[in-house]
Amino acid sequence: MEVPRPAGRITRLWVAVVVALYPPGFRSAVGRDLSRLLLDGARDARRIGRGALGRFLLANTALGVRDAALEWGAVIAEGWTNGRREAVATSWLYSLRLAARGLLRHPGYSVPVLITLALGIGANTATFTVLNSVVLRPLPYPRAEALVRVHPTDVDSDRRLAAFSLPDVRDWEERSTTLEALGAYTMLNSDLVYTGADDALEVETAYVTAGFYSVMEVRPLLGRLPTAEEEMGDNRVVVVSHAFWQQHLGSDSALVGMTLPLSGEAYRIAGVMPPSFDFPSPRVGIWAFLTVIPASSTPYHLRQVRLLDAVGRLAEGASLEQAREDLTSVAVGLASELPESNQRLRAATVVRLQERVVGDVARALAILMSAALLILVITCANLANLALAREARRAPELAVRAALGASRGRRAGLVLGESVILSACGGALGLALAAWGTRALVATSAGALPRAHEIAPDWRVAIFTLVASLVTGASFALLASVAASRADVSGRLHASGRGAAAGGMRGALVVSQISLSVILLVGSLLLVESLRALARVDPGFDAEGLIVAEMTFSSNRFPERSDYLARFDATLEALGAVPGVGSVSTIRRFPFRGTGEGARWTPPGAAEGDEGVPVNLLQVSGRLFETMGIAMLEGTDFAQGGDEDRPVAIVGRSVARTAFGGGPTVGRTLMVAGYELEIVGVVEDIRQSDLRGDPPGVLYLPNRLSPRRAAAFVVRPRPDVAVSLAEVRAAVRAADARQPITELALASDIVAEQLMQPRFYTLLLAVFAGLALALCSVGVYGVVAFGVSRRTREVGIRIALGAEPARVRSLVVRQGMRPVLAGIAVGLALTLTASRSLDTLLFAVPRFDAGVYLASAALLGVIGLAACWLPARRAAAGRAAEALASE
Amino acid sequence: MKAHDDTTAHLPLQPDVLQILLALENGERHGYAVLKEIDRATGGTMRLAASPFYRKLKRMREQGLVDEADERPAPELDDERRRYYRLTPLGRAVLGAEARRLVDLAAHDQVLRLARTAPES
Repeated sequence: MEVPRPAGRITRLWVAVVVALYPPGFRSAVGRDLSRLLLDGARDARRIGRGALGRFLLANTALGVRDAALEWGAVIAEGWTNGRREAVATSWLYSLRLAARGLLRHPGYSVPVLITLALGIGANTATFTVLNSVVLRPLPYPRAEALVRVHPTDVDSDRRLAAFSLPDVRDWEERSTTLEALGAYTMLNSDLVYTGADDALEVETAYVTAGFYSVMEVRPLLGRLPTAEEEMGDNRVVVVSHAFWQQHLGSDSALVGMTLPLSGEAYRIAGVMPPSFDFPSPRVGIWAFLTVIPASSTPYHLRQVRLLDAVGRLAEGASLEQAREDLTSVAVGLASELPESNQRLRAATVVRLQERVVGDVARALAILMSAALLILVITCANLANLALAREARRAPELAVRAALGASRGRRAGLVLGESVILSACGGALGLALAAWGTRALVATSAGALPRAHEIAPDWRVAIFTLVASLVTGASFALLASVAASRADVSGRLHASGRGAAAGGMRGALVVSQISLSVILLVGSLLLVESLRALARVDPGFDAEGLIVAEMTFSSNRFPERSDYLARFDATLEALGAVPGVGSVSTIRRFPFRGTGEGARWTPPGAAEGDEGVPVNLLQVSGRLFETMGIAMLEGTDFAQGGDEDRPVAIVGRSVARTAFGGGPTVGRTLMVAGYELEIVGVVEDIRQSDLRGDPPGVLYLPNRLSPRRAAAFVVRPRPDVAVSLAEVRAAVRAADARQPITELALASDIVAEQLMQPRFYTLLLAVFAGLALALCSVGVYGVVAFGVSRRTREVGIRIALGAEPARVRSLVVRQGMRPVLAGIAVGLALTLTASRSLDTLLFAVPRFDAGVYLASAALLGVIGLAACWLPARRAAAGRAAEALASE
Repeated sequence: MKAHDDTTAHLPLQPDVLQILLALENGERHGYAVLKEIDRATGGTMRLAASPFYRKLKRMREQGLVDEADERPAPELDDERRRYYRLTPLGRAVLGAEARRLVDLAAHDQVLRLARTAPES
C-alpha cells in the first residue's frame, strides 16, 4: 500500500484561506472538519496526478466562495429576522438571496455583466480621479480660491499682458482696495549656488517680495517666514523647500536659524516649507528676497525694468470683476502720473491662480472625461441589452413563479435584487480597476500633467463612483424589472416571450452604442493623426546624439565680463577635448528651455514711433549652426574671434522674409535696441517653445558682442561615436570643480518631452475607443445571438422547407446589420458637431478629415459584421430536426 | 406510539439526507468517508459540497438522526484525528421507514410501468 504523504504547504495554506471565508459561527462548529475534508480530498486528487489536484483546488475554491457567501447570507438573514423589521427584511433578503443564487447558477449572464460594469466604472473613476485632483481640487495652499494672478495690461497693443516692475508692484499693493496682499516673484535671475556640499550646487531660486509670503499664507513646516522688515534691512534670509532640506541638509531641524553658504554669502535659514508648497514651480529649492539682487545685475528699482510676475489675494468678499475694475483704475492713475514709463499700461488682468496653473489641461481633461462618460453610456446600453435578453430567457421561470403566487413586487424585487448585487460587485471591481488605472495614468502622464504628484482619490471620487455604479445599475435594473413584473401567466408559460417592443428596444440600444463608439473612434483617430503630424514637425536642428549642458558663470566668482568670457572659452576647450567630441558651441537658450530675450527690430531709417517686429535674441559662440545642424541658407557663420567689435547678426529665415521679402539679405542691416546690425547670414528657422504654429523670429548675436554669463553648451559627438552625459559632466568638473551644471540632457529627450502631453491624451482616448469597440462588439453579438436563439424554430422550418443555409445566413446578417448601419450613420452625424470640442487638441489635421471618418465607419462596420456573422453561421448550420425539437 | 410518530414525521427524506443515512448504515464514518461513500453509491450523480454537507449534518444532529462518535485516526489515511459520525436509533428507524416507503412506492403498478417505459436519461 502506498504510504500517504502529508499535504504540501501550499495546499494547507489554500485550505486555511478557503475556511477563513466562512462566518465565525460556522467555522467554530465545523471549521476543523471542513479543513480535514478538504485536505483529504486534495490528497486523493494528488494521488491521481498534478492535473487532478489543480482541478480539485480550482473547483473547490469556486464552491468554497459560493458556499461561504450563502453562509454569510444565512447569518445576515438570521440577524435581520431577529430584528424589528422582520417581515419586510425577510422578503427583501429572500429576494436578495434568491437573486444571488440565480446569478451564481448563471455565470454566462453574470460574468459579462460584471466585466462590462467593471470596465465602464473603472475607466470613469480613473479619469475622474485625475480630473478631480488636477482641476477640481483647490490648489494645496491655504484659502487657495482667493489667490489670483495679476498682470498690468497693455491697452494699445491688443491687451498684451505685461510683467511688473518692482515699484509698480509696491504702488498697486498700496493703492488697491480689493486685494488683501500682492506679492511679486521671479525665477529669471541667476540661481543661488549652495557651496556647503562637496560639489557646488545650483539651487533653483525664486526671488520674492515680502508680500509674496503674506499672499500665499503658507505655514512653514519649521521656523518662520521672512518679514517685511527683513526685506528692507538685513535681507539675506531664505526659506528652503522640503525636498532641499531633506536631500541636502539632512532633514536637520537644528539648522533653522543657522546660516547657509549661498553664492559666497551667508544666508540665514528662516524656515522650511511644507512638502506641498511648490509655488511658483516644483523645482524651487530656495525662496530669497528680491532685494538681495544687486542693481548692477538687474536694476529692479527702475520702473522700466518689468520682469516680475505677481500673485494677489482677494480681500474678503471681493469678486474677480471688482478686482479688475479696482486695479484698472490703479493702473490708469499710475499711467497719468508716470506717462514716461506707464503710459501704455492702463488696464489690469486678474485671473484665478488655479485657472492659470491648470487652464489648458482642464479643457483636455474635460474632453477625456466626456469620452469616459460616453463609455459609461455604452456600458449602460450593453447592460440593458444583457438584462433584456436574460429577462426573456427566464420569462418561463418568472411565469411559473407568478403562477405559484409570487406577487408582482416580489418578481420585480428578484430582478432588482440581481441588479443591485451585480452593480455592487461591478462597482467594487471597477474601483479596483480604477486604482490600478489611476496608477497607470499617473505613470504614463509623466511630464504631461501639472499637479501629477497630488493625484489621489478623495471623497469626491468616492461619491462619483457610487453615483456612477448606482446610475448604471439602476438603468438596466429598472428596465428589466419592469419587464419582469409584467410577466403574464398564461402567455409566458408556453410562448417564450419575444415581443416586438423588446426587439425594438434592443435595436435602439445597438444604434446608440454604435453611434457613441463612432464619436470615440473618430476622436481618437483624429488625435492619432495629429500626434503623427506633430512628431513629423522638424524642430529645425538635428537633435540626434546632441548633448546639452546648461551653465551659468556666477557673478560672485567671475564679476568682470573678461572673467566669464574666459571661462566660456576654457569650458569650450575642455569639452572639445573629450574623446569622440566633434564640435562644441554655446547658445543662450536651448530650444524648449527658453526663447532668449525678447526685442524688436526695425528697418534702418524707420519712422519715429515705428513699433518694430518682435524677435528673440540668442547669443551664441563657437560654430553653433554646424554643431546643432541648423541649415545655413545664405552667407556664413560668424568669423571666429574676428568681429568682436563689429555689430553683426545672423537671422532666421522668417525674419529675413519679413524684413527683406525673401530677397538677398546678407549685407543688409536691421536696427535692434538702438544698434545697427549687419546681417552676415541667414539660417533655417528653429522651434523654440512649441512644435505647433509658425516658428518664431530669431536673431543670433555673437556672445562676445552682447555678452551673457549663462548659456547652454551643445556638444556634437563625431559620427558613429557615442559620448556619455557622464563624460561631459566629468570634463566640466575637471576644468572647474566648483562650476555647477544646471541641466545636463540629451537634446533628443528635450524634443521628445514636447510630445508627452499630446501622446498622453491620444493614448487615453485610444484606450477609450478600444474599450468602446470591445463593448460594442459584445453588444451586437449578444443581440444577434439572442435573436437567433429565439428564432431557432423558424430557422429550422425554413431549412426543413429547403432554404439554402447561405440564404439563412444572409437573412440573419442583414437583420443584425440594420441597427449597426443606422448607428454608424447617426454616429457620423453626431461626430460632425461633437468634434468641435476637439479643435484645441488637434494639430495639422482638419476635424472633418474624410479619411478618418471613413476609416471609423468601415472599422465599426467590419466589427458589426463579424459580430453578426458568428451567430448567423451557427443558425444556418443548425439541423432542422434539432431546431424543431428545441421547443 | 411516540417513536412511530417521530419516524414518519421525517418522511419522505430528502435525497441527500437519505444518502447520508445510507452511508452511515454500515458503521461509523468520518466526514470525508461519508462523501466518498455517497459518491461511490450514486455513481457520482450526487456530489455534495462541503458546507451544505456540514449544514445538513448539523440539522440531522439537531433532529436526532445522527450522532457524533469520538475523535480518532482514520486508518486508511494517516494518523490525523477525525470526527466520526454514526446513526442514532432514531436515524436507523427513519432510514428503515423510508426504505419501506420506497419499496411500497416501487411496488405501485404505475411506477413500475413508468420505470420500464421511460427512456434512460
